[in-house]
Amino acid sequence: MAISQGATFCAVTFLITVFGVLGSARFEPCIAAYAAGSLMLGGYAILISLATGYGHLGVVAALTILVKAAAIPFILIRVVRRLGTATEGHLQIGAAVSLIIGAILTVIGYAVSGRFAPGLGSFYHSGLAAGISATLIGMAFVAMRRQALMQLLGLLICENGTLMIGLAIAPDLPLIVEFGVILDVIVAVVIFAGLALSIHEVYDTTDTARLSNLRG
Amino acid sequence: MILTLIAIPILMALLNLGRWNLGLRRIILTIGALLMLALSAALAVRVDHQGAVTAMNGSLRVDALSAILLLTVNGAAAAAFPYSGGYLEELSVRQAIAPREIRRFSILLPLFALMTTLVPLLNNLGLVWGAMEAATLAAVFLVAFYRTEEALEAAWKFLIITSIGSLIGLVGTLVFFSAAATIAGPETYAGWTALLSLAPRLSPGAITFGFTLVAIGYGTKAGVTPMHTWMPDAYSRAPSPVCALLSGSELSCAMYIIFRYVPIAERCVGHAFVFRLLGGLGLATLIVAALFVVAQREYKRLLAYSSMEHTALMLLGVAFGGPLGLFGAIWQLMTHAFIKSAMFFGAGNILLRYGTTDMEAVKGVLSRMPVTGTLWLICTAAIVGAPPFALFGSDLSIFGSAFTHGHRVIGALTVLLLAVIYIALFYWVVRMVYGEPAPMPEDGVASRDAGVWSVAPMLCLAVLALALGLVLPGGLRHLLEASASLMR
Repeated sequence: MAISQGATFCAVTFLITVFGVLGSARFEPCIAAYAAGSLMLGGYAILISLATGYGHLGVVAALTILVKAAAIPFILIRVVRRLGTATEGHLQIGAAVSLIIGAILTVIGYAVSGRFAPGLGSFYHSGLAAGISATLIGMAFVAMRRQALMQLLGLLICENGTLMIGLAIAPDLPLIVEFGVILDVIVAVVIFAGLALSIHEVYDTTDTARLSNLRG
Repeated sequence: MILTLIAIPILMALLNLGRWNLGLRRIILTIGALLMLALSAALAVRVDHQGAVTAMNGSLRVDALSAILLLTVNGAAAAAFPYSGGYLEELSVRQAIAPREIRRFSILLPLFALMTTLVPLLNNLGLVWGAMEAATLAAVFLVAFYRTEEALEAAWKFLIITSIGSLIGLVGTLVFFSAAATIAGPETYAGWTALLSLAPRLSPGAITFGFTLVAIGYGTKAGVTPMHTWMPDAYSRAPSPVCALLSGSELSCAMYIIFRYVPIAERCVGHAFVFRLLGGLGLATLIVAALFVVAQREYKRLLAYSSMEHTALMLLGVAFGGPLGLFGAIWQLMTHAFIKSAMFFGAGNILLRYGTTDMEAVKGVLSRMPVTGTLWLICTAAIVGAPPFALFGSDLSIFGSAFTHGHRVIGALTVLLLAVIYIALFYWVVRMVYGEPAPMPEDGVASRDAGVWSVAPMLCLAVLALALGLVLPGGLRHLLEASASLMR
């Protein structure tokens, strides 16, 4: 019972951190919210590990916390410091509208999750619903934000959501697969960061709205 | 043999860490790529004779379909790697490239080849996803090579859009995992073969959903509408050898993964669903490709839309199904990779001479660059599927399967759209190849035809396309037929 409540707590808090990213125009709070969300994801993995007895999920949790709650936020904060705060602009789609879109996607996420994998216990269901919602919000976030780093954060949220779905519906996923996914993510972040810095050097902004030379 | 195949690209990347000159790097890349092709061919022969070959307790597995993909990606790489050497050399005559950039380029190329080689070898859905994603990541800096505003924009779009596609594909993969996990124990269902045997007992609802996600997710990397928008941008701004690899290897790998999921979906939910989904995606992609080919003004973008058209044809071949349709789709996958690579080599040679991708500004390629011009014209005939080239056979199989399975309207629409694309493609290429070339500064560089390293790969691929069109070797035909039966 306690584990089940803990898992629901992690899933809901995870979703709240996603809203934290949605509601902020500044990079550093967004990165902090992402780190907190990753921590919750790690917590969820630990609880599932306890409930199912799958020892490898403990490794997944440790990796998640190490990579996503520590290493990636660290890299991102360094990139932000190098770019300076000049790159932070106002939001093209305001915080209020973003949050409303987030709320709608959450409702959709919860509604869809029942059909997604029918017959799932409530223990996993909270994670599945939060995961689907976060994946959808992450995709919407990429479309709603123009700064390269914000788009990257949207993608990372999307990826966290996907991992949450994975933990909920396929907790016995072989460790090597999780390993591969996490490795891909960290490489992706390094590449993204490198590209964002290059864009900054060439354009003197990371606003991707400037990236509109290629059409048709 | 499988492990050696994996070791070669790693060795190539390590060797390229050194501070060599371009000439040595070119030799390393060429020898490595040719060795990989030779090993792939040897593996294919072995698979043809004795069935699937495995290594590392079955984690790595080569059957007929993976053998075909191995030949495809390593065939494309064996042409693209030497061409890259030639391309970089000619580029460095025209503009300064830092040795650091050349070093990074020649390290990333073999890493990309490693990942595209792992995709057919790995017998685990999740790891295949990882390898595919890693191939994309390796390609990002290759696309951004020129560091111009437009190159960075293209690389960014490539990364963002294909990453979202990847995640959609990952969710689809997870749904397949979860469906299999409910009826089999952990660690027993992650392989293609295991999943296929479980297929009839999987939950149809989950598989319908999962296969849709897989088709859209991996389809993103193959340019399936509506996730195709990165493709023309990346193809137009990346260096030509990279375009050849994206179109020859990455697109083929993405289609291969979809092909792998097809029999699982068919055995679980039946062919009607696969037909509706892949047929719908294929037709939509074909329509978009036709519209943009007609309206196109840049030749490298033109080739990108032509790649979309071939993706669409492969999807339609699978959708129509039957031995003929599946054979056509797999044959198309292989031949398209070779011929499109050759087309991009030609486009690269032209771009280096003319300095523009605008088709209106390029005239008289044949008189300025007789060898490249002639080969480009031949490759255009090959890419539109004119007889006797290899794509003629695959196109014909796909049409044949449409009409034999009673999909007359879609079949007729496909033929019509292809005709539009082929006429537009030929119109533009003929305009570029013939005509009076505009006067160019005689600086001794712009006036010469491309060097041997830039022309020979094109020639080899054109000859191959012709030879395979005239005679399909018995072993290869056998492998193709075996692959088609693996997809049923």
